[in-house]
Amino acid sequence: MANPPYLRVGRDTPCGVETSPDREQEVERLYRTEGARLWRAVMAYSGDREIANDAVAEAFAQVLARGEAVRELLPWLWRSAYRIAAGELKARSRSAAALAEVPYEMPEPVADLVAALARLTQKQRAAVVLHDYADLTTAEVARIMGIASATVRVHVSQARRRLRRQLEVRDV
Amino acid sequence: MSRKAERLRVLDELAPPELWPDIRLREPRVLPDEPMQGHRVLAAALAFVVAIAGLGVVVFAFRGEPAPPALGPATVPSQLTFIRNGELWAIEENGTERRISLEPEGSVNGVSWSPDGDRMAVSIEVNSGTEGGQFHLYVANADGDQARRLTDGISDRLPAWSPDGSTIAFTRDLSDGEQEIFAVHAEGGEVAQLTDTDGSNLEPTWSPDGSRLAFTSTRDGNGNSEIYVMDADGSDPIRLTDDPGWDAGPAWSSDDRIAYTSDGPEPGIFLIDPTAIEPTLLLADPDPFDAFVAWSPDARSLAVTSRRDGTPRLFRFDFETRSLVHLASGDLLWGPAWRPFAQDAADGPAPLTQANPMISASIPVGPQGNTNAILYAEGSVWVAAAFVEGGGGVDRSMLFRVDASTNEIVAEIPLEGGPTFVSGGGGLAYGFGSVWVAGYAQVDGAQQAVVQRVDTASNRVVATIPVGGTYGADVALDQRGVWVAYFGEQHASVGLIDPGTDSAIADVPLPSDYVRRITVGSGGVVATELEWNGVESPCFVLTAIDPASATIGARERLGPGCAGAQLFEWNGEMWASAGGDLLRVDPVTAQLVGEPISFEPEHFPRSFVFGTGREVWFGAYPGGDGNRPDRLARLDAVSGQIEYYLQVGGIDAVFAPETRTIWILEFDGSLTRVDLYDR
Repeated sequence: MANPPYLRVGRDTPCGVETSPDREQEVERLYRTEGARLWRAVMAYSGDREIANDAVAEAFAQVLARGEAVRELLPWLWRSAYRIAAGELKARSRSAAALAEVPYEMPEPVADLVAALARLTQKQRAAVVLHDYADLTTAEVARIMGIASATVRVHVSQARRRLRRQLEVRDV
Repeated sequence: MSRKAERLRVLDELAPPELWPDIRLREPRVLPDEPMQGHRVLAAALAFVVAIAGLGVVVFAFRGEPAPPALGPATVPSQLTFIRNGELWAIEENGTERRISLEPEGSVNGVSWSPDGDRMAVSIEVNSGTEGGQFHLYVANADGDQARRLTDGISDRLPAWSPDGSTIAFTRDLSDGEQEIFAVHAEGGEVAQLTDTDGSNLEPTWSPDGSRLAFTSTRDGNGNSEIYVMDADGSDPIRLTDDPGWDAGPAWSSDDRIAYTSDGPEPGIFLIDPTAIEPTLLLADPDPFDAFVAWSPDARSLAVTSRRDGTPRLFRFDFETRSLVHLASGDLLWGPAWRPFAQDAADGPAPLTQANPMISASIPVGPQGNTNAILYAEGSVWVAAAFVEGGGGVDRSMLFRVDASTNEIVAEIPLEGGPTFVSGGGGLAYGFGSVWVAGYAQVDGAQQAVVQRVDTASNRVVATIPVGGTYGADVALDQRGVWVAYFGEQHASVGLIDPGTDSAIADVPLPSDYVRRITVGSGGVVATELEWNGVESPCFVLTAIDPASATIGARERLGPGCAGAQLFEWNGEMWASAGGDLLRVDPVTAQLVGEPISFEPEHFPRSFVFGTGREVWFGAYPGGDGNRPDRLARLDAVSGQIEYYLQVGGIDAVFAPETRTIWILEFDGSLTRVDLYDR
């Protein structure tokens, strides 16, 4: 084979930070086009409006602060928002049951869905929201959650099955 | 959009708040440094000595940078044996101990293995009869039978088999109370006396090229013992050490270092270059009289018996990690010796398969998307499938058995509860005449993690064993029993099941709340956990479980970008595939050893991965970011080249070495048989 070996050595390495006005415009454009979807996904995942507000705002603020160091903005935003929310959930030690008991004003079908999501495990919830609502590929969800794409498929399929049962029972 | 995904579209009715003003004004929190994708840097060159069969040095370097020194000769698969209370014992690959029974009755006194590992030279102290108290020298097969007397001496001890396999040097006790070194052809015959001096000469050890012997001697007449080197015919002796300590027990490594013990002012185990003057202290040991050392064939490890902490123990000192790993205990421990495994090619790396993989069968097994785990045992391929619709909305799961010679499904075994994961592999293991399935089931009205035992003779579930938690993730076996990794909503554990009683006998809670895989290696059990740490990247962690005490040992965090950690065996060693790296893992400490083999992202091993000889086979999707691996790929670890072969949709795969067949479990629920034909 004529090509050089495909192997390389090296680890992920943090890189420097630059900021530019152009970057801010680009970030705002992303906020306007993607922010709502991101917020809804984090909201559905966390079940908590405050966590969603904080995670999304913090993720965008981090992107602004890091400037050109972040090359692929959108994947970075999804990953950061998800992880900030996950960290906050863990910090609060919220259980799925507790989430279900913290409703706030939202349309009834959404409230039903959020209540059903709250009965899933945290990882099932994250996987199904990111995959089925945010339309991310299994590989993208895997990168966000830091798990194998095969494991994502497990969580998505189990979440779908449980959601179907819960929501169809309600429909009857 | 599918109806399933449509269900979540109602979320669009939620109105998010306006956050941009907050974003612009807020002071970002200090987050743990997170690596940025796309900024992977090339470090200096990689020099990697891969574990392959053969004795040659195999180094590959990349990017034209100067390579750091090689770690040593290529790892040779080997097994450590030792003597305890006059019995010969072996450390099995999974860390358990196995006694090697010898036909001649008596206490084993010294052992040396032939270079091909097929035979041993062994001195036995005869305990009974008129020959009681004599030392007889034998050559025996590796399993201890077919022993035949090598010499007619009655005090021949401490054999050392030469690297070329032709000669066995040994120590003979003479009637004057002194010892001298002799040699004899490995097939027997006349013995040759190599030393004849005042004082004693004993404990011979061969140089790697077989041209010289190091030994212990008191020939100086000052009553002290020093280390000497002489030619293989006994000529040109040179004193190597000269110190007030009693120097003894030399062992010559394949990379030309001599280890020995000394009880001088700094008692311990020393290293000396045969051409150097100054020895260096490797390991302090307050009681070196009880220390015996033996080099592993690849010179990466030194087996040490020691009473360093007051109790006689066998350790392995790893030169790369500088760690001392406890392997065995006993009242009287000595005589460590490494048995190299027989090699097909004794003077070079294992040959590269001239691969021309052919799909020779495609066998529909389970429903699409729901087959999970695959196992090869007893000439059958076993496939677990979760959530096979059983009618009436009742989920049920199945274990399918496929005869590997006929490619026919010969049994469909209903499971009482499903395997936990419908993809990603894991959850099956074989041993104790059974296939063991990790999963979950309804037990006493509640969902519990269980291990189901399927008897391979009757193809039936004979036990469903609750272990706690909600989901059983994976199983692995050693001689202690069945290790199971399981988790619940907020906790994860590793349990141990006694196959004699089919009940859990130990439980080791893990620090994290998610465990995915568990595997056993030489001397240790390693689990992969997923650790969540605030906003930091969730990451796989390798956790060592001490199999003897069933307690958590060291943990190794694989670092960001480590998604999809899998463990696999390659040439008898444990490896992890994580985040595009192949990493060698010490199964006892769970620490990474040596340099990783790293792949560019488009060539990441994405699904199954296993190693055989100098090759690593894996599922990949080169250049794409699709959701499924779609090509069978092979890395030649010597050249660093990757070749892509067939289109496959592998969830997981197993390798049947006797037929050189890869069995791949596909996402569509079928089983693909790939035979590796020579071109």
